[in-house]
Amino acid sequence: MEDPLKQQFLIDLNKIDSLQALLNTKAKYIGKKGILTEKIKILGQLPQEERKAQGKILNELKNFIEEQIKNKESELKQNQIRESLTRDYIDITFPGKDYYFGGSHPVNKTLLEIIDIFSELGFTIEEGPEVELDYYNFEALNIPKNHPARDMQDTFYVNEDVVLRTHTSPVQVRVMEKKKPPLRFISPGKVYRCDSDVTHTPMFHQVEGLMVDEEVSFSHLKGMLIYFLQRFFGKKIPVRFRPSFFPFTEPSTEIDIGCIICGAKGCRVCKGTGWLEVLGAGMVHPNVFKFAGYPDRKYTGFAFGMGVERLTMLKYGIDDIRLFFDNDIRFLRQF
Amino acid sequence: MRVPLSWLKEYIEGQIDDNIIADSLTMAGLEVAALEQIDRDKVLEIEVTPNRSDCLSIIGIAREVKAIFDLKLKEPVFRIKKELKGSNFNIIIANPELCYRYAVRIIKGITVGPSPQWLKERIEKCGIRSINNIVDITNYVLLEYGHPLHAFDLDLLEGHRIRVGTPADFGKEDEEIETLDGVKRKLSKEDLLIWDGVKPIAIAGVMGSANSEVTDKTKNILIESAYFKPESIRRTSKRLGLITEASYRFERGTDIEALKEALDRTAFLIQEVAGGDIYEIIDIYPKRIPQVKISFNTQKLCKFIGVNLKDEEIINILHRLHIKVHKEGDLHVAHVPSHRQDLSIPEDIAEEVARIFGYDKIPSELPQVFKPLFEDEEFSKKRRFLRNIRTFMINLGYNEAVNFSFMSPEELNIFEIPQDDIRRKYVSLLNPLRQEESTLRTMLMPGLLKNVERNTSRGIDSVRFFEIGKVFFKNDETILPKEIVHLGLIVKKEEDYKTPFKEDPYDFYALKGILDGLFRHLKIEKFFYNRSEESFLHKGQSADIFVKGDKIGFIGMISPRVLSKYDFKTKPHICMAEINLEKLFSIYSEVSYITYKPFSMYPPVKRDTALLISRDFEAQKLLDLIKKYGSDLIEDFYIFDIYKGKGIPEGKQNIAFRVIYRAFDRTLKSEEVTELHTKLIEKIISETGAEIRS
Ligand SMILES: [Zn+2]
Repeated sequence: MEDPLKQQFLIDLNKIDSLQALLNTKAKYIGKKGILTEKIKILGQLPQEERKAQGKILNELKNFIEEQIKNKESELKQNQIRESLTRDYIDITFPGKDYYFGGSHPVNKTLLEIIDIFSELGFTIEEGPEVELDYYNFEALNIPKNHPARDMQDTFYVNEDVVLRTHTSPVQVRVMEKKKPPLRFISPGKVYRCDSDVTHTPMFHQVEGLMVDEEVSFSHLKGMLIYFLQRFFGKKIPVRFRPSFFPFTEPSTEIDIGCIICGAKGCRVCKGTGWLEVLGAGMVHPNVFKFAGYPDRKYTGFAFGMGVERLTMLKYGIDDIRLFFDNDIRFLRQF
Repeated sequence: MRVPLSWLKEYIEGQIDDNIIADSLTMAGLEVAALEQIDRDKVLEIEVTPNRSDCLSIIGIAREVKAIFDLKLKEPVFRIKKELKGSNFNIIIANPELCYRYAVRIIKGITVGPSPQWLKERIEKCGIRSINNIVDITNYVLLEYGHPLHAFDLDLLEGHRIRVGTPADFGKEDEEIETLDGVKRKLSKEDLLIWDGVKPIAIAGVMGSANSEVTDKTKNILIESAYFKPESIRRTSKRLGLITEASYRFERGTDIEALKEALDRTAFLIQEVAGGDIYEIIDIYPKRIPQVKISFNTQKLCKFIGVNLKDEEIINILHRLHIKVHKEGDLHVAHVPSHRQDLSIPEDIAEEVARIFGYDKIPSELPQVFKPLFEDEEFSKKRRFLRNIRTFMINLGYNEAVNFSFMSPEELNIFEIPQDDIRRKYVSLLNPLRQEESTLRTMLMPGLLKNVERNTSRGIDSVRFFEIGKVFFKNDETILPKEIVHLGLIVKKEEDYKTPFKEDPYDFYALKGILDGLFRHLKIEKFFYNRSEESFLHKGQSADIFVKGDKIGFIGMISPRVLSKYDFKTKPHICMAEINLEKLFSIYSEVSYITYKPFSMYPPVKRDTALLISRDFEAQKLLDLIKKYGSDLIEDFYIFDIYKGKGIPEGKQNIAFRVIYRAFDRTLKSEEVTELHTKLIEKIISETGAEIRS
């Protein structure tokens, strides 16, 4: 016949539906003042033989109860986890909190990309002032006052001697005044032209570069710039070099890439030619070296310049330069 | 320069495909920008670079085609059959520094009338309007030879003479001339003019005067063919804002040796179309331009370009360009023809060889080995610093704006910038495009605020922008202004901004948190905020930012007064901040390299306390008090709740904060922390008059 105490415990155990109830039941039987605990306490009063037999029974019962409670506890905890998994349910389709990335300005994005490519080629970066002396912007670049080449660039004047730089080339001379070859650097930055219409903004960005050493040739100019254009526009881009004129280079060249809009078939953007002008370059004019204070004909070098807005427009298919300074977030967020 | 192919081909022997001509010219440096079909002819639109004035003519272009394809040139053949003597006319060059040569021919007994069809067609294809047979012929020869010519009505010239000089040369101050376009123009005493015995009759090299114009009534003419100093013509043309076919060529330099032939050709053709008797040439040539000789080394030339050409190949290319070459020891000497005034140094010869050889045939080579070059360390660091901040802002959800560096001084008024403020020391432009862009900006905010305004007008409710860019301050000690890089931040939300979450990424504290985060990221510790004095910010919701006692910027809600000056239909919340990044960078630079500090592995003890405190009490004071308490055991502390309103007595607020205690060498006992914390609270209470809230 079963022990009535055990039967009572099993009935109680069956009714348990919470951890608290379990704790209560545990206390009722095997707590400090539990029924079983009390029984074990008075064992000592029994005669030895009975004590031995009874003791064994009670201990077994205690072990049984402890194990049952432990099992029940684990069962209850599992239930609880199961319940919470169903209960703590959220709508995962609800949009997340607004930690979205902002848009990076496409011109700066391109600028940094250009810097990175030339950094790989071992070019350093140099900067100069945006408000520049006429001397550095023109004279030292072999563009004297009253020279028709000045018509190539409409200039904002602060006074007779001070202009908003029309290109970042003045940095060339400033650097050469301080440093001796070998030189290999680019100078990125804002430039200004007194011109504003559908295709011109009074401010835009340029990257100019210079490489000077003892035996730099036109061949090197070609190699470097083809490498750059293929890194920037992709390996298959066709590149051509046309003779041109800049007062601060001789020979001078303008560099075209095959039109990426129409695949060189001819379209509105390339004016039907299949080619797009992207770079101006040339071998540094000896007069520029003279202005920089270098010994005559000791060094040769090449210089190049590019409009960052233009490259950005071509790369992303942007058809209006004014969008760059409009700062509509629907534009900026695309980059 | 517009070049009809039918005309061009008259000067070239041999057949070439039209499209190949266009392509080859482009690849030789005369970019064909467009190819236009007119009737059965094609017209090339050639962009002639400023150095190639010799190509501002049909013959000039023909010379190029000849050189590129190694063909023969067919120059015009003509002969003046009869020349009369005794024109009884004098030429006086009063200023040979500005006029090197002046030649004229007189033709008497011509008939002015409309031009024949062939003449009209040719000049009109080139974009020049037909006027009458005399003027048209001068323009025809201008197009053909590139040399400008001018015809005067001989009977309107007084005193049987022509004088060339400036008003100053004739002891005059200034002059006024009514030019052929009917405009009265003021000339300065330095402008080179053409005069008869009495009065000025033309602005030399720019435009003739109405007082000596060839008209239907003209019977006798005088044709001028001259060489003027390019800089002088350019100065006059620039100042008058008057650019003509003649001035355009003169300022780029014409061929002084070819002007006689151009004059003869003009006289010959005028006789052909208008009759008349040609008189002997009068040619005054006081100042010769010496022929340019350039010594060059063929090996150096090859190395410079990166090609391997034999001497004969180089000489052959130069011959094709009418450049004679002779050998002198190791060197070659090039004799530059008078029409190529752009050639003066060996590099010019290298370019000629390279472009006729073909740039595309020059091998491209990537130098394989570089000596490493070192960028200035400080500059490198600054570049990374700026790039870092840019990335930080983009990652925080801010959109990168780029604005023009211009502003209008009126914007400073709208922002109520005080008169003695440094931001009033702006740089003005002499020739701005628009009043709104007449000065260089001294702050980024006006531009960013306009970006917000524009986006709002386009129906965008919430925006966050940042801009990193230069501002410019006039500097009394230096010629050039100071250029300072600033960071501008602006956030805007509509009044009815709604979010399903509790956080508001557009309020003052959001913006402040970003700055705090940025400073912490840059390891800059000693920064603090004081109530701002900036007039364009909301007095109660703005702060100036200080680092190490130096003001580096501001943060705050825009003042409603400034906001009312902008075109917002609603009342948006706009919060902004602007920071001087040069100052921030100099502090960042001082931050020494990071060295690792060990941290405690023992458990922390946390104590939370809520205080009831005066409503205008500023949280910073509480934080400062805890900091000042100076216990080594305090690891961290922060405010986690601020509450005013329901359940809190009038004029009070509830501030709840947490202090975290931790020892480096042991587990803290609860009693020990309680004692420490109680003393801290007592101190705070005694210094602030706060009460503990139970
Ligand atoms: Zn295309």
